[in-house]
Amino acid sequence: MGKPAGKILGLAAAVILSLCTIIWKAPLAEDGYLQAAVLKHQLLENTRSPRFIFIGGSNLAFGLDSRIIHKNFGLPVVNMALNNGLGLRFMMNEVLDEIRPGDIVVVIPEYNFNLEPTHTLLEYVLYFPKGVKYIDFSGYLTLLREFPVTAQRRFEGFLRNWLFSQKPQNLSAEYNAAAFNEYGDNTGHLSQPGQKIAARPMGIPVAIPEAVAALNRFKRKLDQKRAFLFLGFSPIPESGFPPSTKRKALKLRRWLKDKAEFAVLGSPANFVFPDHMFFDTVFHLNEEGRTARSHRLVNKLAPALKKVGAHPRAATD
Amino acid sequence: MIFTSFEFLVFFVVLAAAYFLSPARLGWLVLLVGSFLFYGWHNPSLLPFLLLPALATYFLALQITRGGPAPPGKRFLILGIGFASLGLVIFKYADFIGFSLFRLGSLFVKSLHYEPLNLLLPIGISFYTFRMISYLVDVYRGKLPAEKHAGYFLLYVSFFPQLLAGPIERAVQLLPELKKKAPFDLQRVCDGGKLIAWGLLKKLVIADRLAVVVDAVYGNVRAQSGPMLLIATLSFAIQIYCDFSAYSDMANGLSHMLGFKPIENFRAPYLSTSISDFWTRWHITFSSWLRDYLFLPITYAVMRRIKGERFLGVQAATWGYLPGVLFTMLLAGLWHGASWAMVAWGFWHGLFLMASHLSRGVRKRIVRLSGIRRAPILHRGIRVISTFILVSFAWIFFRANTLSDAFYVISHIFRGTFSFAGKVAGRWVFSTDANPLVDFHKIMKLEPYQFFVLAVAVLILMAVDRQSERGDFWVRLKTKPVWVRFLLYYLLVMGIFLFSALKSGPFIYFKF
Repeated sequence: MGKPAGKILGLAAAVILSLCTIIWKAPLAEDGYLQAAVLKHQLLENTRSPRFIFIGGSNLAFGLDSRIIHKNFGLPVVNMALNNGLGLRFMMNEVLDEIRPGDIVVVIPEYNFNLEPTHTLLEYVLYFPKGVKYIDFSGYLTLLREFPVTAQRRFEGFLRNWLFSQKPQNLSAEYNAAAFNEYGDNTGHLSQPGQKIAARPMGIPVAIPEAVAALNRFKRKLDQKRAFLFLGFSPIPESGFPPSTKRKALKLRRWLKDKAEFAVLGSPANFVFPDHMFFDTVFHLNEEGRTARSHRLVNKLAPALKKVGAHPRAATD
Repeated sequence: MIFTSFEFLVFFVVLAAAYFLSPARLGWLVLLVGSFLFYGWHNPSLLPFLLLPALATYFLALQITRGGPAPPGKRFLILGIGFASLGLVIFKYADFIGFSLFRLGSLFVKSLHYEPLNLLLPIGISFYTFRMISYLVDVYRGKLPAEKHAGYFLLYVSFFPQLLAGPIERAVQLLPELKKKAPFDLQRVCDGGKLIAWGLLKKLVIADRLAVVVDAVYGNVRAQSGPMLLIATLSFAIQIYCDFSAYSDMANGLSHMLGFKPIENFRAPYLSTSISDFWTRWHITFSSWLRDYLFLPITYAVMRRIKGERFLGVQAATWGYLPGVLFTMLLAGLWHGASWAMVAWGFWHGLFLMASHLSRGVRKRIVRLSGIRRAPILHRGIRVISTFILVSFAWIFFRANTLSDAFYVISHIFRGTFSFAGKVAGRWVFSTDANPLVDFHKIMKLEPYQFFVLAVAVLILMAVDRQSERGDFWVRLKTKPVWVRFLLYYLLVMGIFLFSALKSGPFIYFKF
């Protein structure tokens, strides 16, 4: 048995070593979209409290005009959102250490309410190695599972560049770290022409027990830090919100009322926008949509903040 | 559960561990339970469709042995074949028969209406039905005694590596192996692993990438240009070979890891020099099944009816061959799918085989007169390419969604193709900046990178197939220096990791 076992181990070691080398050594695109993590963490560390901290997927990165929030509430804003593939658990972990008394955390995930990360997390860590400390055990398991896919993507990027001089997609104007502004909002798409989105009924779950359990735990940790937590909803195109989806959205809202220990900002129906307000996917709003969405958030946040006594100015406005 | 899924990996590791750790007399039970779990994993309600005909086959085979070849045994054989194929006829062909009768009836009665039954087709039914029929016939012919142990027989029918898409191994080969539990052997596990890895490469890197092109074109043939139809048709020829042979390789690899001998199901089929040669290399266990249980009985039955060596000046063997091969290939088409397009696919193969048989003398004369024998490589090349073209032509019927789509493809496949090829060739010859990869990717609607990966993978496939013609590639590889083998295995595994299509579809033959 000794000889074949040695060969198998040798082969496995060579393959694992090669995959690791590819992942770590294949050149990263400068100003890649995920490199914005560096800027976002700088903002999180350096922005004075009390402040708004927004957490979520690319729906928030593309679809929030933090200036409007800042102007309306007089509080600074840090938009931490980048990509849904990071998983909600990781997103909460990465801000937790930096939460200070009076901070208002608004979580707006995409409708899959995905707790677990995808291969995106590994790429994120390549751009922002300090991010490793926010990965929990299940995150590491996911990384292990996504390891080959990440190696493939990295190798593909390298080959594309080498053979065909193709630049990675994340160097386009809208997927570019340089396009994030002083709040952490992505602005690269604002000057770009949009695409007609192909909207199907948005897949809205009627119950999200795992996500709410994680958010409730997060809320208790925020309570200890005397910070506040709110849950908001991702935008939906009108054509993706037929009556059947509307019914599901209502059910979800009712379910949340019973189970959530945190305040919920309106319902999914409050964040339905005309199709022309979307940029390239059903998650990304264009400039017009981003503005409209930010105003709707202000409308929902104001009474919610008043109710929990989160911000005196909001209470008086 | 499909072989390329993570859940199957866990299932197989647990099952293999239980099998090797179990006492020798209980090994079959572990495999049987594992096979049932494998089959019923996503839909346990499918299990009765496998179990009931298998049990009926088991009991009727015992009756055949008691009855002998005389009428009592024959009656049980007919009854057994009826029971074994009942599910296949009902679930696979009920709607086809019903709809065909409805279309026929509509010619005479306008007000007819047909409501399709849309029955759920139990996965793998075509394969396990053939396994049961071959067992019954072999028992009747006295090639093997009826199996008295119901467990062994059920395991033969449901053996999980071969259950969903073959190979269709005969009871005479597999049953004795199922009774002897082989001890764990790491070298055998490595050998099985190589087959699995090669299968994964063919499925995930080639078949699944080509599926993108083929599905896009055949999904809407009327919107495609001639060159696109041609490329999609040739792509499908490679896709189906890689998809199906990959499943066979993986099934063989898994069986081998558990101690069973691999069974050859594909032998470089696209290097065939004639259609009859193709059928000795493509889905070998299926084609040999057709030969032994359909073609030869029909041929001999016809020949027996002809008194003397000739009839109407034609040899008795030819009279036997022609209806035998046509009927066999029509049924082969029907076995693959309950549609007239599949019947047409079988018909074309039958027609090619008949034409090949009838033109043998003429072709020999042409070869002799042309003197092409003096250039054996050219001669072989012409034969290989012409066979590939004929096989690819027939694949149009296999892949097209309807018979009318197939005819559309045939009538439009060369529309603009030659002028387009001329333009591309002209660019390559006369333009200094023309990049062949860029041109082809535009035609195939693939990115240059995707096209590059596919082109390299197909070249590797062709090289391995060429080597396989000279003997089992993996066995021959063992004679190479250790560093060469290590490098090849390393590249194989890295190829799977780095170039697999991110979205993998189900195996094509699952639907049969």
